[in-house]
Amino acid sequence: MKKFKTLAIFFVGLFLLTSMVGDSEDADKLVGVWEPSNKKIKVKIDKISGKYYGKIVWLREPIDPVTGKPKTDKNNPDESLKDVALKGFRMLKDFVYNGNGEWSEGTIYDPQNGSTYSSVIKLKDENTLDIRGFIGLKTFGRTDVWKRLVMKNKK
Amino acid sequence: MKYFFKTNLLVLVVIVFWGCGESEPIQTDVQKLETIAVGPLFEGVNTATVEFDVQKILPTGVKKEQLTEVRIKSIQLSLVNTEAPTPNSFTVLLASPNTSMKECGFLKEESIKINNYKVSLAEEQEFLVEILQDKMQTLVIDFNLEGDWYDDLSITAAIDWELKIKN
Repeated sequence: MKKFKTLAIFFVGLFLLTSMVGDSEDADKLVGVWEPSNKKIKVKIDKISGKYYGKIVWLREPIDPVTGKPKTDKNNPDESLKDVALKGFRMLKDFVYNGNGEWSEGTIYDPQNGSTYSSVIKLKDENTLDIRGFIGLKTFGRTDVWKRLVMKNKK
Repeated sequence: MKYFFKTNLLVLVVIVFWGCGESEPIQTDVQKLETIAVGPLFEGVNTATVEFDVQKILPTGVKKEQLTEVRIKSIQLSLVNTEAPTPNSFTVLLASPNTSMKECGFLKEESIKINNYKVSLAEEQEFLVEILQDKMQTLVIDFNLEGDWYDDLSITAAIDWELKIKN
């Protein structure tokens, strides 16, 4: 009987451990370089201290036609941050994995108008994300489809 | 009934006075944090991070939960690997497990060209109290490299805090 109990505890522990590892692997499926539907930017999502963040790593038009210099976050509501380089800007912040291919509790920043929205991300398939930005209720928002940048020689 | 209103008013006045009590500044050393970007690093945007606990620089007997006002007086960056290609932009951010990541400041290309690594700070800093009161803090430095670097890259940030507590 004692042997049976020890064996049962061992298998329950093993099950919990493997399910935790599986959850962490699923959560990290968000990590990579992604392109929104307008193809104006590319965003690299990485994990910092357990949460997920996305920074702009490529701009289709990196130079501001007015100043002739690299684009900055000129619409930032904080006057003192309007000169921060747009290349490198963290537009996705604080996403936490919920399970079932969904990350929530995050925000998405729109550099075109300087607004920040609540946001949820849903992994549709390995290389496709639905990113929804909203104010208040999830119902009042807009969803964009982002595609993962896949290396050509990756099978 | 007359005494009831008078007593309530007195209690309210005491609460208001107690709540408006002056915060008192505390002295701390400049906090030196070494962030690391794990190589190899390629041309473009890269990130160096370090986790820390601000409690370690507070005077004995002061707990970070007592902080009522926090400002950054200055942040001075320095590159540890001098042979590495010099980044042409830096953004400094702070985060913690239960708060949102926020931009604290940045370095312009013009400053970097004249070897001035003093960070231009964000005007809005009210979020810092919540971040420093959390169980741990993460310093994040995003930088734009102009070439590849096949090693780790370390950036040291010396942060001069202005801290106030309420006793």
